[in-house]
Amino acid sequence: MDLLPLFEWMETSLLGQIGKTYGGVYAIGQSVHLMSLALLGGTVLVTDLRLLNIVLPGVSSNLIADEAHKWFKVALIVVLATGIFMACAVAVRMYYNPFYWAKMASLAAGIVFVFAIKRPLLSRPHDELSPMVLKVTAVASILLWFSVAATGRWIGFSG
Amino acid sequence: MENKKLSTREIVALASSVAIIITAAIYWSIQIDGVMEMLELAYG
Amino acid sequence: MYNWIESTHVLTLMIFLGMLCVIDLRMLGLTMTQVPASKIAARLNMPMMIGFTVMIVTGLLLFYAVPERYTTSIWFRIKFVLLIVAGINAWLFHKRMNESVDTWDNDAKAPKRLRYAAAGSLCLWAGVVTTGRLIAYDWYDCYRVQSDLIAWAAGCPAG
Repeated sequence: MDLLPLFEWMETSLLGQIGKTYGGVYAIGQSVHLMSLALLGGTVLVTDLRLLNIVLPGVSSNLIADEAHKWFKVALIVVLATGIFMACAVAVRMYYNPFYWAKMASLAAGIVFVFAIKRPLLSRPHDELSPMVLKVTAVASILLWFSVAATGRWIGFSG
Repeated sequence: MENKKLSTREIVALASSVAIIITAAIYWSIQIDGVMEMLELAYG
Repeated sequence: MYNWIESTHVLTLMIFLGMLCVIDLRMLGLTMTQVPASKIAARLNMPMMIGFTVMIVTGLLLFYAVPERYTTSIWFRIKFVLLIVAGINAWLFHKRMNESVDTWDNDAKAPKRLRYAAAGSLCLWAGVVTTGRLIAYDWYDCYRVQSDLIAWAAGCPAG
């Protein structure tokens, strides 16, 4: 399946036009993207560091995971929305950028991982779960979201 | 480890987590390798 | 190498701002309301300060790479002012929190003044991120500045 036509269409779409024409709007989009990335990273780190017993060891990890997940969802929606906007403005260039595809792959993996694996696991009472499994999951989660952000940053350098 | 058997959820989580960790490790070591090569070319 | 330092700077944002967001959201009564506020603040302070230190170090390195570009960037100047204000805000916040924390530690929300400070801190850091991102754009760089006011604010060399 060739996705190039989709990317060409994105670039001519209204969002693409706005992002191309108004540099200021695009820059604000990037900033909002970064800030929600920070929030997303924060919620992921709080949860995972708690699972690794590095922060807040006295507080129920179930509580932290649930509360952090609420804000994780908010951050994810904003990140995706601003991300789509940014991609539209430079869609065809993205199509030929290997880091863009690395990022999309890790992002997709991240979303599937959170909603299909991490949440179902963490919604159980954590003291019934094997601590080893929780820790491995936490490390994987940190690595995965770090990769999403890092490959994203690299898109800008390799364009 | 403990004797308690792992539930399906735990096994799925464990397997996918290990897969992610290995993939990330390979990906980043390739990336870092590329940069090292470039630095060597640039500075000798 | 510049790329790597830049990336570290941006990625550490997730640690530093992420933790900051969680702390401020707790003060605003928007997350983890069941956990005492001082506990969240004290425990997440550590990863936050680690992130902050990394950001300062990488930030300084970035600055010394091209100092004349930054000192004459209006965005950099605004960013610096915002950083100072955010610093004062954080200092006042800590002082007031430590003075009064015993009376409201288990409440869902911090007292009004602290809530303003927390909201202020979120806005200030949003400003820091945005202006930081804008440094990369050259719309107001000296060689293309037309307005005297901006030229003065950016400290462009005369002539």
